Amino acid sequence: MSKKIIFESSEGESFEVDEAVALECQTIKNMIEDDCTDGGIPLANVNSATLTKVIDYCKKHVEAAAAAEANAGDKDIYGANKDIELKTWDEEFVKVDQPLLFDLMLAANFLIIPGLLDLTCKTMMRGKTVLQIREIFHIKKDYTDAEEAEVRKENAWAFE
Amino acid sequence: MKAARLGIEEVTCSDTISHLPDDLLFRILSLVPVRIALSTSLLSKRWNYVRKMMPTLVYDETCPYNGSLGFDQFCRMSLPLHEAPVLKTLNIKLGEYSDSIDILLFPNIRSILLEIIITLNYHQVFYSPIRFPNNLKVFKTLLVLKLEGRIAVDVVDSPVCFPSLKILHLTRVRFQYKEESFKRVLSACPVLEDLYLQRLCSHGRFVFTISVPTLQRLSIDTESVYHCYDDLRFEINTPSLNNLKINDRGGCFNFVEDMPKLVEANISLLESETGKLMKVLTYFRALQHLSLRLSPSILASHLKGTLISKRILHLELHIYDTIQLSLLTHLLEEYPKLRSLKLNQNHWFPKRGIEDQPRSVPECLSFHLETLEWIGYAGTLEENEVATYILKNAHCLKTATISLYLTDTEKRMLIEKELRSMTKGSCQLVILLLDY
Repeated sequence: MSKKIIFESSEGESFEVDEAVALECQTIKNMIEDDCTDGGIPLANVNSATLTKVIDYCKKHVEAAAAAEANAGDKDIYGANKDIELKTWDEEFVKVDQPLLFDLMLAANFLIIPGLLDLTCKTMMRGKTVLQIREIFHIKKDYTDAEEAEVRKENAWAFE
Repeated sequence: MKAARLGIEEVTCSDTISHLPDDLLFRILSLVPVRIALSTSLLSKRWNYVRKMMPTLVYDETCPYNGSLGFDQFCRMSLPLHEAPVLKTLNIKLGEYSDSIDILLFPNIRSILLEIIITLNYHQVFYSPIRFPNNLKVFKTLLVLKLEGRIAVDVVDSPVCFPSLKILHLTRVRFQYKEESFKRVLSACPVLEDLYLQRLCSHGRFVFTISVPTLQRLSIDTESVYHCYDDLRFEINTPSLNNLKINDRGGCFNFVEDMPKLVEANISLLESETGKLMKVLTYFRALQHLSLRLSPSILASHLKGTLISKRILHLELHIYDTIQLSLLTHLLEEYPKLRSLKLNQNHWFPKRGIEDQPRSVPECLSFHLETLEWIGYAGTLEENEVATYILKNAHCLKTATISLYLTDTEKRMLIEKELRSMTKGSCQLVILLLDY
């Protein structure tokens, strides 16, 4: 029976996970090593919806790593690429609305999950134009007319 | 973490992304095509600052989203605007011939540059010349230089051009003035530690003179580059080397000096060259890991009277003919301290019969061998004999990993059972299947 770790979301909801899954988060790994995980880990800045997704991600990647290890013998000779399936899973995983994607990125940054951080960062602006980015993220222009003209000149190629 | 605590409703109506820490924004921008990353300048002052301070820049012309930003515009207009005091990595990928990469790129880098990667990938025949002039400040701090693809390399005005360079990777490139350019490149790196040469194009005779006193790791891989008229020669003089990796099926190697610090050697050469190398290996006093691709009979004949094998702890053999018990035991006798043995069997000619059991058990089996790895075990008579012998006589064996080369399920189960019955209780037997 593997050791369990309890997370507590910002709403106070408890989530029990295997230690191996929790170890995917560098921040938690450090806490486990320092032996300060008894009585659960409160995550005041991660809500339940986000935490559920984060745990899904960690579980899947722990399973995939275990499967890859079991097949390590084949990989030696043929360099067989078994992570195509995992990549497809990742792609599906980040097909969520913008606010959740944003929260997932913040959680991955806080918990230090490099794979999830890159995945969410990559998806954040993918396939969007500057105009769309401004609209989606509500970024206000704070240039004076002269400053804007200067920036436009510097980036003239962007308007060709 | 103020931004982290904001709820969903607030995210939808206020600008939380601009308040993220710089590192997170750098990461986001480094993962989108450079054209998008650079044009975020237009968003606001905050974004203009972030994009000018990015520690990593990737310009990828071959990426379909690269859009209207041409390489010359990137170099002439965007690079000079970059204000990051340290540019950790500059990664340039081009998809077309260009004769002015060096003139456009190097003088326009203002930051302290640590790593540069240039890859040229296109179908035209011509190689794009890149010359490294030695008077540029940008090369003074460079630690890593990686060049790949259709590049003709040259260093102008030697000697020292890259005074800090530790790692140099050259993959599929050519040298503008053949041997002369290659020599100039190496002599321009006085503190080089790591040299990686892969599939260098030569056409005809080419002598690679690798004489680098500071070099610690050398990897040469020429696999599948040979044409019938190619004649590659390597003169290697690297007294500080601790890791040597060679994969070559046609070249001629000459090791000029002793390598007293060499700990690990991974060698796949023509047999005649291996023989030469084995003679030199005698002087490599620190060698512990040895990986060789050749038949055990050749290896045994080369090892007669050498001292090298007495210290080897880890041995890997890539075998291209039948494995015979007498030869293997004869071979193992030469390695009294061996702790791990890996056999990689690619194919075989199972025709010889069973031989007499060897008279005495090699010392490494009785006292040291802890790990056995065997790839491509098919359970032929000869293999079965070798496996039985090792599993029976290796008293310290802790793990034996055997990858089976078998498609017939029934036969496989039989062999698995057989292997398990041979294995002692103190040894963990792992049986894997090769995926065909």
